[in-house]
Amino acid sequence: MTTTATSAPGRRTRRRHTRRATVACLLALALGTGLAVVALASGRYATPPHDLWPVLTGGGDPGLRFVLFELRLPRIGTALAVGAALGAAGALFQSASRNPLGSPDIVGFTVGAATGALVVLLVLHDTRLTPAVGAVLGGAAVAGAALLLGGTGQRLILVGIGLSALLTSVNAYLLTRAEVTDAQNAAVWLVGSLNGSGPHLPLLLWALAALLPPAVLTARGLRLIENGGDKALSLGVPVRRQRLTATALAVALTAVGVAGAGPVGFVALAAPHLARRLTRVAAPLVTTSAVFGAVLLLAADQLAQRLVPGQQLPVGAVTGVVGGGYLALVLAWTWRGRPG
Amino acid sequence: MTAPPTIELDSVTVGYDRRVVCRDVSLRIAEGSFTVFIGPNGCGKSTLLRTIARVLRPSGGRVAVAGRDVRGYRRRQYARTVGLLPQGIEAPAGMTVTDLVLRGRHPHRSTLSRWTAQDERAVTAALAATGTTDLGDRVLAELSGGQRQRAWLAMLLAQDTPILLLDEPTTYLDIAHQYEVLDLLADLHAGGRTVVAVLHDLNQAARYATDLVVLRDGQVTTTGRPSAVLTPDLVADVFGLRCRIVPDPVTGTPAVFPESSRPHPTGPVVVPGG
Repeated sequence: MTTTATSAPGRRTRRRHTRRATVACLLALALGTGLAVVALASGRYATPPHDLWPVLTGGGDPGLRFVLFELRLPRIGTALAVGAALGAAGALFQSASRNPLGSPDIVGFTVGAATGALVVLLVLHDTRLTPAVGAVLGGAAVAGAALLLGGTGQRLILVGIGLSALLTSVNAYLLTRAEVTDAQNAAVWLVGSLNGSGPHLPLLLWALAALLPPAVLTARGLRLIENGGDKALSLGVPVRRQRLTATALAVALTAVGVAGAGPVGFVALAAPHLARRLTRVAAPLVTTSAVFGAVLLLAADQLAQRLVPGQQLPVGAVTGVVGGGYLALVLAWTWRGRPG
Repeated sequence: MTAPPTIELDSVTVGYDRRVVCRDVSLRIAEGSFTVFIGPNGCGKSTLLRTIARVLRPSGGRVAVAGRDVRGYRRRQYARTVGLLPQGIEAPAGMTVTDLVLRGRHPHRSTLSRWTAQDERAVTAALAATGTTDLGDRVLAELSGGQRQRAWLAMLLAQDTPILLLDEPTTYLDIAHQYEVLDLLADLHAGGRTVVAVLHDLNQAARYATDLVVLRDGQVTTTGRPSAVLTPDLVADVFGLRCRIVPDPVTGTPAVFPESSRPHPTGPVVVPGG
């Protein structure tokens, strides 16, 4: 039997997947570039786009140079890096837990990060430790505890919800004991914000460069777990090890995101859903989710800067409102027509 | 019956956590056989099949495939030798038949290797053998139960293993689709593969199997050709069912008919509570 290109179902399907993923990513990148230009051109010192080019290529007005290179570009870069880290983390979490709601927010990472930051800000008052460091430690500790107690899969999510509930009350208590100004600083940090971000950008990018490639590789074996543990094992996938690796990578990527912008909610949850819906590929898409997460956070930050004139909202407030609405929609869609 | 054993179990003890399901089981499965495990619910059929698939790790004893201890195989190597269709297999929403079948090629591909002509041939052949070529672009969730079962089988065939293990491949299918699946397995067996399946229907087991393995309480009660194994005494002993056994009018293999414990209803049938 001769196999021509048109009668090769495997090759055809694989090519279609690649094409859809590429088109979705290109669209997202185009959108991201557009947003980046808008972000560069706007702000307190509005800059017409055609004035940007001379500055970006090394000339132009020194004042504008400072605004672009010291303020706007680092902020855009941080938004993209944090969004990418959270998007990739969400894709890994959802796949490892085989649950479309699996995300660092839900396994308790975010609340743990908040506790860590609050302890640094309100209890230790230690200026050498930044809230970001406290957050990463706190988040990793809670995620580690959830992993130890809950293993992987559905139980991890339930344990995470339990730990989150516990720590939420701890956080509330810490805030009630704090000075008013401290409490206000802490509250702003807890929402997740890109205001004043930038100095850590190179570190964020290095971390991302180190974590994304293993994440992409792990996701390949991980997608077979979607067909059930027995089937994956019989196909030669080391299921336990893959899940553990994926969860550890997801925690590390979340830590990168939290270190960069605080506990920004819902990006990790929404980015993989968007990626899946737009590419119509039924698999965890780490790369696509990272791209979508980056664009999502950049868009949310632009919205946050404009929504209330004369005021910069923390970006976490926007992702919270938009992401929460999205979550409600997903739940309504997923359980549509089911009893209960 | 002179074929060498391709699967050997030597005093295998296996279970879940601390609960032992099968104790000290020894068994030979001949190369090129169509072996069917039968036995009452909870007797350890699936447990044994999953142990052979290396999904479960025995706490004692030894499993060998093609003369080699299964612990000596590398993961992918084993997955190229033994394929499993488990119970409760699932697929994420939106997955198409071809998506699924492509995944069957996993053990043949390394992380960065390209899609080869051999991969393509295996997928095309798997789709053709299961009659799913035209369903390739359909989403699994939209298929009928019989079509979906054929898609799972296509995924298993794409794995291209000489040994096929199937855990209740006919469950939830209507009678026509049950026989369709069994005929497909018979074709694969005729093509030279070793087929090991768990079945519930004794008459189907007798029709298709070259060898029966009868299990009860985690022990192998008896093994052999269906005509030699299936007797009223065995069915009474293993399943607790009094029955008569007559030759299947179509194939001549043994067919099991339960004795009635109540007189044949002569009047209209009354369904209690219905």
